Amino acid sequence: MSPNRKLATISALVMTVAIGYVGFTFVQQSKDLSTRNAEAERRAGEFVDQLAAVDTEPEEVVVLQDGDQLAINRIPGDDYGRVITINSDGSRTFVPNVRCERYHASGNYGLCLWKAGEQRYQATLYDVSENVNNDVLSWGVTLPSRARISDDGQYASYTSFASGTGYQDLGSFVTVIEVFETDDPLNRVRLSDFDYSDEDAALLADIKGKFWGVTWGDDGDFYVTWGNEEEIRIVKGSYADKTLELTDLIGSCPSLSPDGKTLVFKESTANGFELVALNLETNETTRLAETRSVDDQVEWLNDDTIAYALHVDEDAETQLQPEWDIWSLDIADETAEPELLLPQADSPTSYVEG
Amino acid sequence: MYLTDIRSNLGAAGESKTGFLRSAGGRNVLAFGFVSLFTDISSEMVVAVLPLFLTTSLGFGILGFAAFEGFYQTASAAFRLAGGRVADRSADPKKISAWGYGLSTLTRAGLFLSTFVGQTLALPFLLLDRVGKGIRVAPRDTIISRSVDDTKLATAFGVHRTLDTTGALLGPIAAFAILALTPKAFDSVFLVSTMAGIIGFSILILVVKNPKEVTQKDSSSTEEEQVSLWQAINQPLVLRLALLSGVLAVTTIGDPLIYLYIFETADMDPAWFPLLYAGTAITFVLTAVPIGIISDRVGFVKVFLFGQILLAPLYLWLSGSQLGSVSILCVLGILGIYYACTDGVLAALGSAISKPNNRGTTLGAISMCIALAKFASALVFGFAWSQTQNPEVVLRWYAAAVVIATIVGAIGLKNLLTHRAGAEELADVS
Repeated sequence: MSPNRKLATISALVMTVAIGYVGFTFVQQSKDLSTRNAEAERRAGEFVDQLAAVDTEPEEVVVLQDGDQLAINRIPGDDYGRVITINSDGSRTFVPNVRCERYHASGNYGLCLWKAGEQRYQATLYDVSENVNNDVLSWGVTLPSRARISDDGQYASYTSFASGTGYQDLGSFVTVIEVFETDDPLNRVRLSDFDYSDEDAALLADIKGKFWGVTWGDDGDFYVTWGNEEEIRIVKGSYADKTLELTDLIGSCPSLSPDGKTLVFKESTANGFELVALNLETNETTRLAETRSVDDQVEWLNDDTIAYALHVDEDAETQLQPEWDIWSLDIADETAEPELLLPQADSPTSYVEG
Repeated sequence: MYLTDIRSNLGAAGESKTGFLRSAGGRNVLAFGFVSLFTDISSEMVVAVLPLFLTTSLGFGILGFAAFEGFYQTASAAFRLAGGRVADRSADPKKISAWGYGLSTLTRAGLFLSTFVGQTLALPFLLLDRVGKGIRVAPRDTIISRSVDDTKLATAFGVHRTLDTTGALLGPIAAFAILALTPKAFDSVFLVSTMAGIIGFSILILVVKNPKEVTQKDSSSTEEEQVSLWQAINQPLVLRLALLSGVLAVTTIGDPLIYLYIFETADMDPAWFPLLYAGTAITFVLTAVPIGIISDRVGFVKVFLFGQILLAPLYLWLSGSQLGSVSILCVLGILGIYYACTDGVLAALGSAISKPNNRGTTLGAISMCIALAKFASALVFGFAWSQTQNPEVVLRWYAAAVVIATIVGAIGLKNLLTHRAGAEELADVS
């Protein structure tokens, strides 16, 4: 064969392999997607009402009312990631122009952690008193994880991953956590700058220590998770005094009830995270009726009911548009079982008017 | 002298009458251009998805990524000199460059396999790829320079660099097209990259020929032509040109930093960011050949210095004006012309001042100096930017530095300033 014939043969062969492989991958991925869509449709069939979604015009003004429930839409497709309000009949209304990885709102303020590009994320603080998408300030953050605003709207905090993507393995992640007052969002502080007693310094001064998942009480008091590479504790803090204090609770992602009487948090077990409720008046802890592993900071719908998101699939992390369902649980009724509150959504948010 | 020998060997008299691409040497340059086109498609596909791959698939943090990037970029510099040196010692520069191209293509196949076996295996392959890059550059430019008559040097490099950059433009487009079609399928990207690499490698093996003059020289070569590495570099012009190109490169702000500056000042939509790269590359592709032809007529040094001095008004423009879309386009255009005036032209100049038996070493030394100087420049600019928080002022410093460096360059190269391609006095100066 002449060199030119050889070259033509090699090129044809090589291009066939390349096109064939990309084509094969494409077909394979489409199959996966259609299987997932079929599964999603099957599940959705059970919640026809809930899936009826209403879109809004980009200019439309949406004013939140006390008791409104919000979430992030996780139905795969173009509206994936958009913030929704959940209507009383279970249908969803899209909030104009707010798309998040993690969202929370309360007391006239909303906080959205969102994807601004490949490997770029931003946090945006919204003043929702007159319109839900009236933004106040945005700044760059790392991989979004938790967002929480106090019921009165005065304090806010978020947690993002500086490295790692999940809380399962204590040695595998580093977080960035900032707390701030919503009327001065430029002045954000880090918990590592807070003071603590010499006794607590044994743990809190550890250079490998990290904080995640603030929950707010009254007057800027808060609970948060502290962990190093071996152990974790729940820590009590005061924004006003800039102080931290170790509790002896071993757990993570605390969430304080609106009446301040109950603290729900995650305990690590061999099977993942189990939810535990601590009655702060009696110091009694109760294991909750949720048997599945909950990797979320729960939200309180009222003084008795919590809501949290669960992955639909085991391998959701590897999917392009992973899905969650929001479940609720009445913790006052010991016989109550978890109930599906809203399929294909996460970041449950119960809006309290400040 | 040897310059006349080359011309007679290649039969230059007849060549100038026919078109450049129709001559045997021109066709060889063209073939090598296509080798580079496919190889650049192959390598730029990987480079384009690298940040994504490292952070999403290998779990790199920002710091780890920055450290890797620095190492990745400088790893090839050291191998450039070595590659050129080996090519000079060998009778067969094509074989040396084939090792470089082959190694890089193999690392793509390794990357492809690593997506199945274990993704941390990707790291050594990524670094080996840079070694391959370092090895192949100098022998490649040696073959190009020896393929043509000295009166066509800059044209030859212009043709080659045009195809090379076209490949660099197509690579990211191909990579992102594949990722758009099959999201997160890095294995697809690496496989297509491997296939493009194989095509490039096959063209090199099957079509590119060692220039005749090399094989002739080899058969008659004597022991006394073998010089030590230091002797090869330590020639007044070689050393001077390598150091001066380093000095000029230190005053050059790397494109990524310029794009970042434009991006931040002009308040651009991130989605448009890749177009900044494309704007410069397209201008380069359009102008590299005409500027190469002009350089062959008026002299390499003049064109080279003209390209350098263009940076001064460019930086001043960037620092002074409100960047609208028109001025961004102009900036990218000037940047593309700067590259067209300097990249291939410098390789032509390096070829013209070096004897055939140390040409690879010369070109390797020049490109090593430039790679190191660019790395230093990026550090200095980044540091000055973050320290002063005032990039406008830093840009003005750089504009001043460009003027000074160009004057230094003009003085340093004044012996060559009046030189026209193929003129005899060059050899006398060296």
